[in-house]
This record gives sequence, C-alpha cells and structure tokens, in this order.
Amino acid sequence: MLFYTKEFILLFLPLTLTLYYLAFRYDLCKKIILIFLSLAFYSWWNIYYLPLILFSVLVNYFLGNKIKTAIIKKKFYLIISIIFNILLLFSFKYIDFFIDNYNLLTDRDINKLNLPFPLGISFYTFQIITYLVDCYYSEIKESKFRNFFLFVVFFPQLIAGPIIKYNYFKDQIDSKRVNVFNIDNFIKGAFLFLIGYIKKVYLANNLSFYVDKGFGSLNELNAVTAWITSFSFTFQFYFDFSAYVDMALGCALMMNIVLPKNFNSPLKAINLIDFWKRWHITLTNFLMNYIYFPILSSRQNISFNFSMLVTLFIFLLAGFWHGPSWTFLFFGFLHGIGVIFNHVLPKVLNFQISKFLSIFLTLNYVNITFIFFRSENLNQGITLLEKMFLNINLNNHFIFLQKDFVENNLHYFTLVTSIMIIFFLKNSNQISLNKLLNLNEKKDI
Amino acid sequence: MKVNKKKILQIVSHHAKIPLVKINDKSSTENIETWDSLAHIRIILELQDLTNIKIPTSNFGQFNSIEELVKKFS
Repeated sequence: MLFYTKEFILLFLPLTLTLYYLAFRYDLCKKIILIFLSLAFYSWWNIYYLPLILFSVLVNYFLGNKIKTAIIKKKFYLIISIIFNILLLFSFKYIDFFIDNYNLLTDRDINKLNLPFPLGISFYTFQIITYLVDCYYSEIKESKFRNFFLFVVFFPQLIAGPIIKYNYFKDQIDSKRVNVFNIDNFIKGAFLFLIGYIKKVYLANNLSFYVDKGFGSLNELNAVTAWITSFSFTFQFYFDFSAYVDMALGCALMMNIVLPKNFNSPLKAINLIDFWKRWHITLTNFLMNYIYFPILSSRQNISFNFSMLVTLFIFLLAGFWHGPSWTFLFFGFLHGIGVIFNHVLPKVLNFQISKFLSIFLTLNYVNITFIFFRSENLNQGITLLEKMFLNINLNNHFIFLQKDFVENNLHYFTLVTSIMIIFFLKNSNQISLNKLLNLNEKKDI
Repeated sequence: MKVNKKKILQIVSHHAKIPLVKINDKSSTENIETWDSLAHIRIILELQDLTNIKIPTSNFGQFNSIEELVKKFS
C-alpha cells in the first residue's frame, strides 16, 4: 500500500488511528494492533512477502538474544547473524544480477531464479543490523519480542526508512509521553502528511510524465529538452523522496511518535559531502557508524589515502544497495569520486569559491549522477549526456522549445513551481518539525 | 582517566586543522567544515587512547560536537 493512495488515506490511516487511540493506553494491546496493521500494510502488495519478514523477525530476535547472553562467542554470533541477513538480502535482491553477469562473462545460460523482490528488504535488513550490532556492544538492555517485532515492521518507516535504532524507537513507544493524546503533534503530523501528499501527487507525479517521455524517446531530444528532462527527473526524484519522508514522519507523528529527520533541502548543498548530510540522512549515518568507522578504527594508523579508499567502497555499496544494476553502481561510483574530490580540493587549492557557485556546481553534478539512477542501462545514461552536451544547435532549439512549451505547458508550470519550492521556500522540517526533531536529534542513528 | 576541556579543544584543533581560537563550545561537525569524517575518527581514537574510555564504533557519530565530547571525556 502506498501512502498517497485512496485505500491508505480513506481506509487504512483512519482505521489505524482509530484503533491506535482506542488502545494506546494499554501497552500490549497498542503494540499488537500496530504489528497486525503494519503486517496488513506490508501484505497489501503481495501476501507472499509476509513469510520472509516474519522469518527474518524470528531468526534475528533469536540471534540478538544469543549475542546479548553470550560471553565467549559474542563476536561469532554477531558475524553469523550479519552473514544471515546479508545472505537473505543477496538471495532475494541480487542473485539474478550475478547470474546475468556470470552468463555474460562465461557465455553460459544459467537460468535466473526470478524470486519475488520483497519490498523494504534493504531497509529492514540495515535496521536489523543496527539492532544486532547494538546488542553486541551491550547498548540494548531490554528487548521484549513485541518491541523488536514492532521496531522492524512499524509501517510508517518499513518500506523506505528512515532507518532508526532500536533504543530510539523503544524509548518512545514505551514512554509515558506516547500514552497521552497530543493534539499539537497530531495536527503537525496531519499537516506534514498533507505537504508530502501535495509534493507527491501534484509535483513528482506531474514531473514524471515528461521524464518518462524524455527517457522513452532519447533520440528525439535536443540539448535543451535533454537538460529539461534531466532536471525534471532530479526534481521528480527530490519530491518523490521528500514526499515519502514527510508522509512517513507525518503518520508517525499523528501517533505521537517522532521519527528522525531524513531529508533537509539536499539540492541547496554546497558540496557532495554536504549533500549526503542532507539527502537520506539516516542512510548516511548508518554507513558511517556501522561500516566506515568500524573499518577505519580497525587500523593502527589511518592514512588519508586509506580513508578515501574506504569512502569509495562505501559509496559503491550505497549505490548497489539501491538496486541490482550497473547503473546504481555507477551512480555510487560518481558520488564516491565527488566526495573524494571535495576532500582533496582544499589540500590542493587555497581559495574558496562563493556559496552560490558551490551550490550551482553541486546541483549540476548531482543532476548528472541522477541520470544514471533513472536510466535503464549505462548506454541510456550516456546517450542523454551526449544529447545534453553535444547536440547543440541554438536556432532549431528556440523553435523546438516554443513548440515543446505549448505542448507541455503544465510540465513547465510544475518545473517552475518546483524550482521556487526547492530553492526559495522553507522545507517541511523548518515549517513544522524543527523543535520536535531537535529534541530527538542527539538520539538519531 | 578524564581529560580537561582545553585538551579536547587542542585535539580537535589539531585533527580538524583549525586554529584553537576558532573553536568554542558550540563548535561541531555542522559548523566546522574541516571537522570531516576522517578528522572525527582521529579525534575519537585519540581521546579513547588518552582516557581509556571506549565508545562503540556505532556511536562515534553521536559525539560530533565539543559539547558532546566534553560530556563524555572530560
């Protein structure tokens, strides 16, 4: 079920809020209701996804307890449990990618498995790993089964994050604060959900028509329409993700639960490092805290070159995490190179460029990387880049642009509106959430 | 063993390559551009060595300001 669909807004959300507020003072009852509704939300797409997430919850709860209670083999159980989760993710998401490439390299014809791709598996796998590592470091003192179950399946963040820590969630769901109806939070949550809905339905969806048309007929594009197509996708992607985050945070807030900030005007970033502090913030934090820092701290002396190598590895991983395709790997590679460039530049150059120019350059670099996020294969991305940079004929372009404007005036209107919102208005956090999120920021993953 | 606040400021100044006078209680990874991920891990590791206070690597990101470092190590 998607947040912006009729069935979610008219049926699932009112039903959930009604049942939740009828039972919210009774701990067990409240959690059982949320677990069942979250599973219903998850199964709406495909009931066959359900056994896998249930299996994952059961096994990981067992492994977490083993890690917590073990005295000698603590590390062994942690490694086993992480391998289990990676294998699960690999089997359902990546195995066909490797079979495909193996066939290509060796000229063989091994059949693909064509397993169903369980939604949200990338997110809940990372979230479960945070739980297991925190068990290993004895950060988690108490983990009742119902709390762990709800932590994994809690519907507002199950499909696309934010990725949260167990203690962050548990402290809230068990706090007395949650057992009091807070009208202020309810209204803020509803308002945030509405902002997200508008972004998705009126901006992202409208932009997608032009983007789909552009990517579907690359050979007909000239430089101007190619640039418009690429920026339209960047803004579409921005509003898609931003809308999802708003709606997820809004749903949770209507139940008096504050999820961490996950999106903070990333297209206003002054460089790639800044971009990743603003885009998918909880994913960046996960990669830093659970992969980057552990790898680096295992070395006696941390050299700059080694840290840059790890940075590139992390971004390749982040790219591949988004999907089993060379385009996502290349997207990660471009971001890794960009971040390394931002680290190296101050060592080489001894001057600062203006903030406006920094934002402009970062925006354009991000726009180019997003082309590969949207492309079906690397060739499609390269073709669009060729059209943007090489297919220049100014006289024809002006006539073409006029024609394009008349045919797609709604798109141009949406594009201008998008630019105004992205660069000149306050973001959702600033409008409705700042105070709440600052209270919880220190506990962010 | 704990360290004093001045020592923490010196360590941050050294690894983030920023003059000591430009660091204060409000300084953090958010407002000091050179306090990047590499500087951050070097700061935490040095403070861990000096104080023998160990922090799980999964929590390194939490200690991203002078205020947090002082609370933990001083």
